Amino acid sequence: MQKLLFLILVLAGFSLRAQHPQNIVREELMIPMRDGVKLGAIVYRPDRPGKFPAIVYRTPYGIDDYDAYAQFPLKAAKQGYLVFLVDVRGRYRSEGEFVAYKNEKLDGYDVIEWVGNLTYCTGKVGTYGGSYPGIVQWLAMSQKPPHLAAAAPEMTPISSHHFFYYGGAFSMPWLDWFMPLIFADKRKRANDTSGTWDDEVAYEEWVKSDRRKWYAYRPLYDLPILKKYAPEYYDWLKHPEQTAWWDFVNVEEDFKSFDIPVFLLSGWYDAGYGPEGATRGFRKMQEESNSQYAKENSKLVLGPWNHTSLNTRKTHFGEMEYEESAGMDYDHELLRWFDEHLKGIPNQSTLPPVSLFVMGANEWRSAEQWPMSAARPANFYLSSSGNASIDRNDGLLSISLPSKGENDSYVFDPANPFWDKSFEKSYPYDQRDNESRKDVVVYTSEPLEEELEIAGEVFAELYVSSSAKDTDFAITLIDVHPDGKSINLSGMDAGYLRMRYRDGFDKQELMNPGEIYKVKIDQLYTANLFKKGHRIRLMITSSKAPHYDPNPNTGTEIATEKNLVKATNTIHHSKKYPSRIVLPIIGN
Amino acid sequence: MKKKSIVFFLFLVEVVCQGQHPQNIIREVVRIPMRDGITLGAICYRPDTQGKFPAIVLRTPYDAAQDDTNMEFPRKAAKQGYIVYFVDVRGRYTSEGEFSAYRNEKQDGYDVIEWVGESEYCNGKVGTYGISYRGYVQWLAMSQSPPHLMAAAPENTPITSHDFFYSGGAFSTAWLDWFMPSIFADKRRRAGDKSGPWDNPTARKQWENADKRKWYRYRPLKDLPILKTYGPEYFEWLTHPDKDSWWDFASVENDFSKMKAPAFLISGWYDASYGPEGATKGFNKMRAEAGTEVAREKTRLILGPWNHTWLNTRKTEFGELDFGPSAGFDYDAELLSWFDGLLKDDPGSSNLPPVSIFVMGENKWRAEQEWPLSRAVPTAYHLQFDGQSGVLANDTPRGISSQSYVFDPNNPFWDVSYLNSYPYDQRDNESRKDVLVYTSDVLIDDLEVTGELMAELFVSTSAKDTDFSFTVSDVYTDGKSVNVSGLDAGYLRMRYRNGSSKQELVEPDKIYKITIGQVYTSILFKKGHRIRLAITSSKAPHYDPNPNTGNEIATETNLMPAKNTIHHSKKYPSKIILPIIPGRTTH
Repeated sequence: MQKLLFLILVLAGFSLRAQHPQNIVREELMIPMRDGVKLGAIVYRPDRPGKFPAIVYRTPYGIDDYDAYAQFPLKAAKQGYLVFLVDVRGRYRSEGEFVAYKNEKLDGYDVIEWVGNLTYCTGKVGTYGGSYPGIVQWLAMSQKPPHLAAAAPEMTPISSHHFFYYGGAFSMPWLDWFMPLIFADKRKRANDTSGTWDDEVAYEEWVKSDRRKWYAYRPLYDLPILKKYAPEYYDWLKHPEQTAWWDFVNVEEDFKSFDIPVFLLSGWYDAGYGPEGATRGFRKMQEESNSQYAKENSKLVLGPWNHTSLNTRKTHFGEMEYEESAGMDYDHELLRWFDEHLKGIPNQSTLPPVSLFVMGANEWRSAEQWPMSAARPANFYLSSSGNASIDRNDGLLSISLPSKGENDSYVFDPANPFWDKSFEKSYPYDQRDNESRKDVVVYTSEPLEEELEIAGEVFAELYVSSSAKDTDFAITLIDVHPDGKSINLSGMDAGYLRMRYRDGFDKQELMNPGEIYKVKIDQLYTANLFKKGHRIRLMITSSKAPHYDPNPNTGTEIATEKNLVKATNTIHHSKKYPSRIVLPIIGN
Repeated sequence: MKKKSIVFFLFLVEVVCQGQHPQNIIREVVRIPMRDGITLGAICYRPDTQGKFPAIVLRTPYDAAQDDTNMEFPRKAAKQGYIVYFVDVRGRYTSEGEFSAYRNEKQDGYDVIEWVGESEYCNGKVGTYGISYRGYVQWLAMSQSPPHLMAAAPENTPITSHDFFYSGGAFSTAWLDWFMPSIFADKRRRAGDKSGPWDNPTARKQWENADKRKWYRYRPLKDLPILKTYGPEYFEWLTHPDKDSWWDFASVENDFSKMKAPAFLISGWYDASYGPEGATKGFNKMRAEAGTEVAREKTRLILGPWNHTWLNTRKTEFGELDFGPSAGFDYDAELLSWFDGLLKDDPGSSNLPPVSIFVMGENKWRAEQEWPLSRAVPTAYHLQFDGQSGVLANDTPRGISSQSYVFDPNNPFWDVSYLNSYPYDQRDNESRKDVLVYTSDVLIDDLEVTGELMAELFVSTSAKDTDFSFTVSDVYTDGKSVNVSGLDAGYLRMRYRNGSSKQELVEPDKIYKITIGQVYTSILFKKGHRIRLAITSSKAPHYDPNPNTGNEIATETNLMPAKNTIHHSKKYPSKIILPIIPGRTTH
């Protein structure tokens, strides 16, 4: 008997030797969905007996491509997690048909539950990923999978109309999504040799192609190059209003049922939906979630970043250097947070509920809530002598109401829209070339006598009129440096409004030409320290191509319109029409 | 009253701290004074929060700013509550003084660590890290017992200076590949010498495009013109081939009792040969001799399927092999966990056992308590030659009693992997006339070899001096023959056969028994594979090919062919001794 015990101990000792914490296993498997379709997955897991919490990443971009470079899955597995990389339905290793976003609610539930029920899973499942791999997490959460214990939907929206449409305008970058990222695998699955099956080649070909031709193609609805493999694109075009049709991708109404903490991250230069989704998602968690635990443990992180992955060296892009604090060891911070909610180890994350990076100061700020309780709205009123459209120095921003009434008009020609050169990966850059356009007006403050810090959502309340029945207005907030350099404080796609949706995205109301309307343009998020001697500038124009389809200004159905007509658009500013921008000011 | 004011004070600190975000760090350029008045330049990262923090020091001759640009570690560590110093060593880049390789690193190491330990924001606990030169400087500093040093991570580095410059008595010509691309640009800049580039990237490119073979072959070694101006130490090293007290300026092997801080030791099976040699010997000396209990107990040894580079979790394939998902290592995270336990007042979360070895072939890590493994069984494989093929067999030799080849130092064995060693198919190398190959039978079961491989050879040569070297490879079922360690491992210059401290020439054609070691590996030879031993007499450009004249190497200009013979008879039973791990049979 003793001998047997000794033998068991020896054997146990031997097998323990084999259980080195650095040993992990990579396996490929198929995960069954409720309808019998199977999704392809790669799993990394600790190579030892026991149960482990799981982390799920679902992507339409190919798990093999991701797995070729990503460090996170291996790091996490070596720290005691199961990591599942899953091709979404109809992509790469997965069966079924891909219809963008359509299947992610139910499939998300099924994947998470299948993982949570594995014998070697503790039953705690977390999810992570940015952009499409981000929104699929919100969509899964809406189904309340019982095993889901924490989610990190980064750089992603929470509703259709800050994504497919933004301020009522249609998002043209879908072209830049389907063509280089989606179609190669579509062709491969269809055995269609008319184009490449290789994503890298598809990307190269698209970048080298005459993209402007396709952005400018009208009517939108007849765009030939997406017809074959992206029927959903045309469905989206046919549904400009936010109606129940969009429920497949909306989670705005679901926050009451969200009872797990979320780790929300975006950047001031992320796509417009990024900070919008992160901040509103965080706020709705705080206001609507039925779980105190979820409220207290959710995180919001907003840094000087665009729509890309993070590391501690992500401190410089575009024309700005944000210095040593600006990066983030995302893998580490996320794992520490998962340690709390999936492993149950308290006090691992050192992040406060809200982390904001203040550009200019180049420092992080801690806050308990969003919007920051310390923020105080301050009005800056527009004024000019009526020549702002021809003279960049004519428009003024001032804390006092304009002494006399004036207005600034410009002709907006949708055939020659404002073109954002940073459209592919947004970044801060000198706006002076953009400001020189005839269809751009700017309003600039006097040089600041003291530094001024803002953090939060910026919005403009403008009194506008147009010669057309419909047109667009867009705002950009700018930090003017003493040398004249004029730097945008958010992505150029933020702060946009299609006039027919000025009273809500669920219904169209055209304008009466020449009538003055008060409109609110918001969804522009930033945190910036305007230094002493700097000036605050508001830029207004009527298009942001190729982010959004330029408004044809005809008032007709956008998708089928092929005529583009010019509109004369006017910004009014007077005591009666006190156009203003409202900045969330921190401190005095 | 006193208590109340403390509570109040703590409350104030709390309120102030709420405004402090853990992601905020500060980068500063600082100067660190040495005892002789020279100041060293450094880049410092520290948390932008109040309090005192442990510090981590990296000292480099390769430009602290460049290291800072390339690495994530300093910012990761600062964001996790460490002060991090990247210091240019004396005479390099932003530092004053004159650079003399390895000469100043003992004292300067002490002075830097103590200055950091007493600096304003430091909690008094200092750790160090870095690979290669940045690793060796840590051993040198440890030998001075700086009181604030609490942990060190000298990776991919030897413990004796002589090992860095000579291996088995042969001179490391690889120093050319150090001075030319990595050292001279800044030397020229400091001298205002515009005859060459002042920046490393350009110098590196120039050197890559240069006719390097010409310089490797240049004789006499001591007249090599391209190092004369800025690499005087190279010629000193050349003129001190014997391991004697001259080398004490940079040796630590007798100083382990003065080492009070535990060490985190990493090397790889394909690291430069001094790497696994230094890590394993350093580990054992730390465990046996270190001056504190914590140093003896918390020292860690990690040997993976890696070469002479920084690590990450994706370091899983190089050369012609893929070592599987476990083979990488999240170095930054693992090192910080280990530092947490020693530099911060928390228990630390490092879960690494005393010894971690990666078993190639099996492609798994194994936790061990010791190195070498006491359960390893040294097993002899005798060399035989049946007239057609060389054989490795357990029984005593039979067949033809010797094999000879002509080793011509004008046409030495050339290792294509010499810049950054990797596993590759050796069949081209094995086809050389000056390479003898001995191969085992097909293995009928898996066989694990873990430890130091030794060759015990009976050799003779027509010359008064020559070299012998061996390589073990894993022969796959398809014939592919992959080296199980870096090719620079396992080398001996005959005149140093009785030790590296004295030269004894050989009598031509007399048979000598020699032992060649310092080949470290861990590999599971799979069932159906074969074990192969290759023997040759040079490994260029790792080492200067032996001129075979018996004269002073540094001044010799004649290179003479030598006829070298390996004997394998009953009387002269040459063998290789493999440390076989029992109980790995899986069938």
